[in-house]
Amino acid sequence: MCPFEDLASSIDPRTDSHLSEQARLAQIDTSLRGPVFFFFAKALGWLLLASIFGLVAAVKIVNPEFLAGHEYLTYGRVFAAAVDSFVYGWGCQAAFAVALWLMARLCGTQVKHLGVLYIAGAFWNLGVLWGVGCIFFGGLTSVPLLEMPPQVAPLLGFSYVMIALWGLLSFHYRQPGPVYVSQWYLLAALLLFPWIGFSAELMIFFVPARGVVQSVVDAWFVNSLLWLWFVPVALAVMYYLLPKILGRAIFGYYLSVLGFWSLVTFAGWAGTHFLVYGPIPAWLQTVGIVGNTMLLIPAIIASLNLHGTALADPKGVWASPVLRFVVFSSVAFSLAGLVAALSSREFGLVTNLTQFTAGNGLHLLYAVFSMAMFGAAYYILPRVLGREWPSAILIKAHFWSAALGISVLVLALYYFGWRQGVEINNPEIDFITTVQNTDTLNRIRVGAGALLLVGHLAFFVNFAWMAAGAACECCCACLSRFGLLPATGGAR
Amino acid sequence: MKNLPVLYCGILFMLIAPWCGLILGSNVQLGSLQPGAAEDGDPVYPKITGGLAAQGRAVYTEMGCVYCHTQQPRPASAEILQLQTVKTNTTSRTEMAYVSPDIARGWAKRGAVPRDYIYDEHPLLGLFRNGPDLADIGSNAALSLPTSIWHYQHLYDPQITSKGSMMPPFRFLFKTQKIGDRPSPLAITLPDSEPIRPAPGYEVVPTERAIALVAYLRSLNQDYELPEAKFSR
Amino acid sequence: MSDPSSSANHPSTPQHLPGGLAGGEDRLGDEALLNLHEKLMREKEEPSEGFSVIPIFLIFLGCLLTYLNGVYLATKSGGFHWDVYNENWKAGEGGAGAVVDPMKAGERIFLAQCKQCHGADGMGQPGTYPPLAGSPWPVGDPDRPISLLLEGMSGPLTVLGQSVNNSMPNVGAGLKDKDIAYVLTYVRNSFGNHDDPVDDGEVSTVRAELGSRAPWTPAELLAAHPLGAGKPAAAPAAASGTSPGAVPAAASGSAPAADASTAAPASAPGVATSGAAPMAGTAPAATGN
Repeated sequence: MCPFEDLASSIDPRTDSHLSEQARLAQIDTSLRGPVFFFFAKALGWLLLASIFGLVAAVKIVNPEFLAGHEYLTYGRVFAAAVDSFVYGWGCQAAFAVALWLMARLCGTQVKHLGVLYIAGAFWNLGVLWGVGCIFFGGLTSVPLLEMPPQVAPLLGFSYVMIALWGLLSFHYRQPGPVYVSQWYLLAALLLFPWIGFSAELMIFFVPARGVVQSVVDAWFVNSLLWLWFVPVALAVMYYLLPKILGRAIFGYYLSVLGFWSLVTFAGWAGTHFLVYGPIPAWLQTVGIVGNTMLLIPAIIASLNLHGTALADPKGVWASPVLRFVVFSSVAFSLAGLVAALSSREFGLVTNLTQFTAGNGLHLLYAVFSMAMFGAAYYILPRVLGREWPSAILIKAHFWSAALGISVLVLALYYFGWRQGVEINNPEIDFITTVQNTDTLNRIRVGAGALLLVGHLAFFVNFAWMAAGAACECCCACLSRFGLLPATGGAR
Repeated sequence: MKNLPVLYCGILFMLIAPWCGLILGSNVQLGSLQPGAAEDGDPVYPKITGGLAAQGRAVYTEMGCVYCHTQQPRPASAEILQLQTVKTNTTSRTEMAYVSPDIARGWAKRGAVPRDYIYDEHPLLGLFRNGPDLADIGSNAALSLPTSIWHYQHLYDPQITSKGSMMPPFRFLFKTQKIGDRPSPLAITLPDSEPIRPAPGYEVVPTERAIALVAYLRSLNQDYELPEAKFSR
Repeated sequence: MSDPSSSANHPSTPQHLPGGLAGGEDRLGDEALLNLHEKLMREKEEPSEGFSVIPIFLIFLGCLLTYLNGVYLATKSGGFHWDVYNENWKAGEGGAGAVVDPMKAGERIFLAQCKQCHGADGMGQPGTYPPLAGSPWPVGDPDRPISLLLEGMSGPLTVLGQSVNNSMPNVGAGLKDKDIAYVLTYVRNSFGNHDDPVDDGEVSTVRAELGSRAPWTPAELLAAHPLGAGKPAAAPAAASGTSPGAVPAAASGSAPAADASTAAPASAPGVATSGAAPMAGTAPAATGN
């Protein structure tokens, strides 16, 4: 037989059409079991690391002498390591796991040749590990969200291509029939991420542009990473889980097209709002503000769709731990749109270069994206591993500590960041006074960071427990197949 | 969905459009800026940071100073109407006045413009102001004593020069050594109140990296005019 | 990679999982989800009463946002020039934006160059540095302060009843013409003084005429440009009145000053031309420059 036909049929991810839907879904879930589990496991590990680094950094602000003797633990490096572990270690890998699974589910395809995904995952982790390690030992580049040394980029790029290719192949071989809005969002995210990553790495490190052009590229990269990679994956999850679990259609679904296109249209332009009154021409600042303000439209549309659906069955939402995370995330997204809409020169004059920006970043990365990923994890992992979560209390603990922790943290960063901006803008207030006035914020940061770490630990313990159970079951099944154990009815 | 080609093309277009507008556009306008002179016959700025200061920039980068210090003073057009104290010869009164904060604080004489950064490997614009803006710190006379003692004391223990600061100490950029026949000329003096000091008979001396870092800080200078950037009053 | 035998028994299908800890039962299968929403999309193609494809308020909001942002983009972009950093730039202004205000520029130069001696308030230091506030020296004939700045001055003088005997360096030698014009404009209109601004053309003329010479003595300078005289009247008759015939008298009048006598012959042509210079438009014709 022609080798290409062999290859084509071997990668053809279509599930057997003669099986019932349940069985087909089972086929999909089984096929993805390994990659999804491993991506989540690694992501969770990085989440814990990032939480620890973040907590250490927060403590160092309150007490600068904390762990101050060692060069590799200086505040700048710990902070950068926390950010990059969170974004590339946890964020991207959770996104990979969710995107792969969701695309496969919605397209009705299974994933074959998992070896590629395992290798890609291993390389990704190697890259992030190397990058974060370099940050600690002197390789920090001081470029926001690109702090890892550029040598890591080809490794990450190669892994990404493998993973994204599998997602795109899923879409290519999808079941004939309708395409759902979540698939558009995933498609957009999978196609946009390599472009923004490649452009940014090229123009900042490999063929560096002159001067502030690098800063413009970086601002565009940061904003696009948040609004065109993380947010679409989160929205895809929200648009999928709400109707599935509540059993209702998305309210005003026909608007979701508009929401998708407005997000993809405007988000790319909004990057330079970070540089308002910075060393860039006036037109670049104006374009950034305009792009950022227009993001209110996709936020309102998503709010209509998601809140409309959730409000139709609030009891159903509350009863489901998954939906608690998802609805928290959707509310956070509406608020993020509001904050983006406030963008203007006057607003930027107060909030840029203060802790407000940090709050905005955490708002999008954690309150919108990570909470959606937590919900998705709690939904996907039982289906993929074939077990239930061992502890309801740990899920509750995770939800409440995460929700409380991030709400307090983001609101505090907004409020105190605003105040810091107002004080810095008043030359009659000594600069050192503005620093001392952030003391309350710094203490809140430590408390919230600790609370978030507790939540992550609860998640991790629950996950490890479930994984151990699944591993046990797997081992037992293997051993019994080889006759080393009496066949049982299957542990549950 | 019927219009898949539209979807793909649409996504592609929405990718290319901001890239062309923002990235390509700014590269075309700013990507080949050359140094300039404010008036004919004036010296040309900015100057290339070379030698020890360039090594210092590498230290600044790897220590992550950008997470607390910015290097982008905001221009005169960044004005806020606020209550200010106006002092004349004999009286002072408060009135609402337009103030450009970074310039009024003495952090710079003018806002930063793209041409100031053309020789920077990566413009270290910074993200947060947990510490003051450093773009023009090199022209600050009070910090520019020939011995740079302010900078060394500030790095060794920020509490010496800036009590209440949240800056971590960079003691690992210094070494404590036994005093030889005579004290080293590089040894830094610490005030008597400083709790962390070397034992008697020992002195604190900056390492190469501290010297380079301080040279870089002293080279940070936007105290010149450009055709598109004149000093504000 | 998928094992048919295990998939058939695979417990991960929705019905087998209890609610709560597995994220709740799925009330909607995947295919049902896709089909339901596809129907919703298709249904909306048929209009019915009270139905609007897009909610009215959203259309309104979208239009409003687009309009406001469009106006903002058009008006606050500095013409999309690379060198405009002020969003309020208007076409026609220089790339640097603001037109230079001589008073502001002059003040900046004054604070940098003159304040150390003459004081920020122009009161000087009694006995050491003369005051500028209310002083007749910077006002009147602009050539006097221009010449003073360009060459410096040394010797005793009395200003407003205060006697000083000191040296003033030739700060103007290192300043550009327009900077001298700005700072003199500033001084002539501050500290209670009020007089016409100084033009940088005058400064360059004076600079060219004076060339380089030893610092003035007060007597010399006053002889060349007496106090209290405003700009001499710009009439040709007046110009001939101060023709070269009159100048040697002025030059010889200053001869008694020891250092001036050596300087006078060399500077006579210079003095002649500078004496005629204030008649701005007529000067070149009168003195045949």
